[in-house]
Amino acid sequence: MRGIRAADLLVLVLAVGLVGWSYIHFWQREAAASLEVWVDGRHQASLPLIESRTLDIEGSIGTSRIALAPGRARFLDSPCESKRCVHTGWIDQGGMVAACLPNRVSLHLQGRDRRYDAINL
Amino acid sequence: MSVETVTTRPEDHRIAWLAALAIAIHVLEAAIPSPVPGLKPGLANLVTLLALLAFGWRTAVWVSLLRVLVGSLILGSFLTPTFMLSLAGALASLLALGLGRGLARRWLGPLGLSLLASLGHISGQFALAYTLFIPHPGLWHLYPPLLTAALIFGILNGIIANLALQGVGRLRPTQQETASRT
Repeated sequence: MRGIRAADLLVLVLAVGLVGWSYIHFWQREAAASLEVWVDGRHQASLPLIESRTLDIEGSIGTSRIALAPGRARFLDSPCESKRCVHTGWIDQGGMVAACLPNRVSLHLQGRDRRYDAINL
Repeated sequence: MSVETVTTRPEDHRIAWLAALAIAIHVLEAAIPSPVPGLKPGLANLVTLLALLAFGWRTAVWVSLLRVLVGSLILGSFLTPTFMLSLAGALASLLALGLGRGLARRWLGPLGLSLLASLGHISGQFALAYTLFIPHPGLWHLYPPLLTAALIFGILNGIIANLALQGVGRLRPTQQETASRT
């Protein structure tokens, strides 16, 4: 096409490169390395996800039972009505969150370099 | 009582006409429904780009900032977050255009400048949104898709600007004729 110059194409190539890089940098998912447990807005504990075990967490309205496994975690039981936290199932990517709002307990998975701490689309 | 007269130069008229065009496009564009917040073709920025290519950086700055200001007054979003995002985008894209034009005047055409402007625009908006409104790293999850949109619309606007410039180039002789007659 007339009017397109060499530098335009260079900018185009760089722009495509930037877009590609943005997907790699911002959308990269990474395996979970550790679990943060938050209760009532406070950071309660950081646990490595190496071995399988179950834990009881004291929340605002009762005890939530959670399970840890290599690279993943989940709610097993919680004293809430909807059991949404339990239905969330296993979470296994850095940045993923499972929460029991009535009991004010939430589980946050961390990747190795802690880039995201609460939201994963 | 003293009467103050304001004299206008041809440049002022030019800026006013271009800004009016940009504002009209800005308002029309606001009426287009968008599937994702922040996704817009950015046709109003086309006027800024053409102003830069045809009349230079100063005119482009005037046209762009007038468009943001008056456009927000018409749409009722003056000083709201929408307005601030709009302003941040306009400033960032003007900066990108200025750098592109300043560093590579001879080599960069409408396509390259349009891309610089559109990528600068969305990046400026994200920088502001992150520092001011949503200081959460999760915000950046939205960046890649919107950057992709900026790339696509930047290319399209660049092609349109290129065609428009060639159209203006064909008109120019007659324009000069009329100008010399008046």
